[in-house]
Amino acid sequence: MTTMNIAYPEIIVIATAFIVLVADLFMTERSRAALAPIAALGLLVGIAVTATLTPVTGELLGGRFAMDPVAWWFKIVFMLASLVAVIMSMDTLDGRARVRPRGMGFRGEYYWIMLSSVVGMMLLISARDLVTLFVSLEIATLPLMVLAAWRRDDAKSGEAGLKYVILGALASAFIVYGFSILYGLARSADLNEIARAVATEKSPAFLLAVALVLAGTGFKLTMVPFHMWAADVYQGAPTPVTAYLSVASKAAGLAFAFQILFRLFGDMLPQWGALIALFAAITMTLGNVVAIVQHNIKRFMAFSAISQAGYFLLGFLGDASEGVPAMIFYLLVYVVSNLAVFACIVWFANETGKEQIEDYRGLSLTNPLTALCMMIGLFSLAGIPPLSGFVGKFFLFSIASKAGCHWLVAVAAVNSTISLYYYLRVVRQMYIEPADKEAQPPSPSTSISITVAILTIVVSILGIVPTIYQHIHAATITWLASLQ
Amino acid sequence: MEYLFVLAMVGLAASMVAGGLIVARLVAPHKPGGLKDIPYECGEQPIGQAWIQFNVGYYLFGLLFLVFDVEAALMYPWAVVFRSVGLAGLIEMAIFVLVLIIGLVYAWRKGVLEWV
Repeated sequence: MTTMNIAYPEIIVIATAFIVLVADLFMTERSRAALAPIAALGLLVGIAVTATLTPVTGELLGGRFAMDPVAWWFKIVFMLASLVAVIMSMDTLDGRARVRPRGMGFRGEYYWIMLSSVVGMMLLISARDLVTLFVSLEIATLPLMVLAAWRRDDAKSGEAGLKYVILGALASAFIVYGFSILYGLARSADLNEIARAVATEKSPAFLLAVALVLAGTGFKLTMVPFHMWAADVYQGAPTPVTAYLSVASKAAGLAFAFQILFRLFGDMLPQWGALIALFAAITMTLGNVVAIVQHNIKRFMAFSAISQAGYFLLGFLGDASEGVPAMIFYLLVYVVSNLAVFACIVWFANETGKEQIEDYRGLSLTNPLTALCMMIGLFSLAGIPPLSGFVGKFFLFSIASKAGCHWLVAVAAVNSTISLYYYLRVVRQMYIEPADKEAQPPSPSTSISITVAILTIVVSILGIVPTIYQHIHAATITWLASLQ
Repeated sequence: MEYLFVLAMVGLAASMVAGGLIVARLVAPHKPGGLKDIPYECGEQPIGQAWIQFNVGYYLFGLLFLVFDVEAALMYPWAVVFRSVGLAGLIEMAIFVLVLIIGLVYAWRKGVLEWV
């Protein structure tokens, strides 16, 4: 009972979710604008409690729920991402957008569902047995499916939700089938015990289980060839939800991959280098090449997100003591950069209702500061120094290089150049193309402007200030010691 | 070799299904029609066809029923071990029931309990 405080972050987020849901039932329509601040406040308290948590290690429920320094970082990232997503959704849901999307449903339910998925993700990285791991994965994913289909009378949103449900159910089926075989082989549901039991396993059943679980992980992480759902779901979902999906589901996918690749199959990971390198190469190449020809900005960001998943995979090569901090650091950088870009996209969609890349022409003349922030976010995603994206990519590339995959570093470098080309396509529209004379210039929104400004500052300094990487690195060393 | 059992199991399962059908075909008298075509409604005389449109309200009642069904299903094993889990168990069950009550209040406020 003494270690109950390690579960406080989850308890606070769950409590906030229920408060928002119940408050929505008894509020008048006008006072419902207070729901988003309540949700944001709950997440802020959650972040504060997590940040001041001491010690950050411990376990509950007979070891089925455990907190460790790496889980701590993931939980901070999950809560930060959803905090920004809640703030981004405010304008759209409270009717402050100039172009109001119809059928946005009840606000309390929206924030409740979003917070539920955060709880799922937070439990996911703390899970220590197969059942908890699978159930928390579903708690994280099912709300995302509901959010993707949020706009009731929009055919695209419905299509996005349906595709996500069908393909997500297929991926879950793969994972749970793989888990059942692992349970049969190890005769235990405890992740650490399974890892010990299968360390020398060579039977065909084990290989089948590995293939099934890896396929499911690939789906969550949008690894090629399991990426097919991403583009349609990202494009069809309401724009704030797309922003949330692109960062939160990616972070949850990485958390799941950590649990699978480091905790479950940690002993075998060094032998799978060639396979992971191959996945990384095709994921970033396909994502980048297809992104070049996109015209819809949300679809474009979907393929950009797929190619970023390829960069993440580089971290699984080589030594875990360098790969893990590099991946967590890049996750932080990716989340902040992507949210900065998406905040601008959400704002632009709210003001104009348009989401083609060509619609952004002349934005630097009408809204110079927003255009600058969006450019910084895009350049960080492309990896231009001195922005944080460059530092993050540098760590990942050097890991691949140390692991001896020099061809992969070459592929990744070429891909970075390709990605710079298509990110520049957006910048070109904003800065070089003349503005549409007839169109009414979009007016700034307070909440989103502040969010974009803060995110842009973080994007710019994250790579320069060394303390954060040092903290992640120290956390990883403790974590790796506990894995043995 | 150990996977031979799996194959044998698949074969056995298939022959169970096929065997039942084949034996029924060989042994059972063949007399279709009459009362056999009437849908089974727990012994009641059926009124009209079974292929009608059901009110969508049934679906919501089904969901609400599930709330209490889950509650009861968990309370039985809890009642058996109630003495050994003590006060902590009581608090945990109170939290669980509270969550379910929130679900009920939610449905109530949304007007699910009113028959349209």
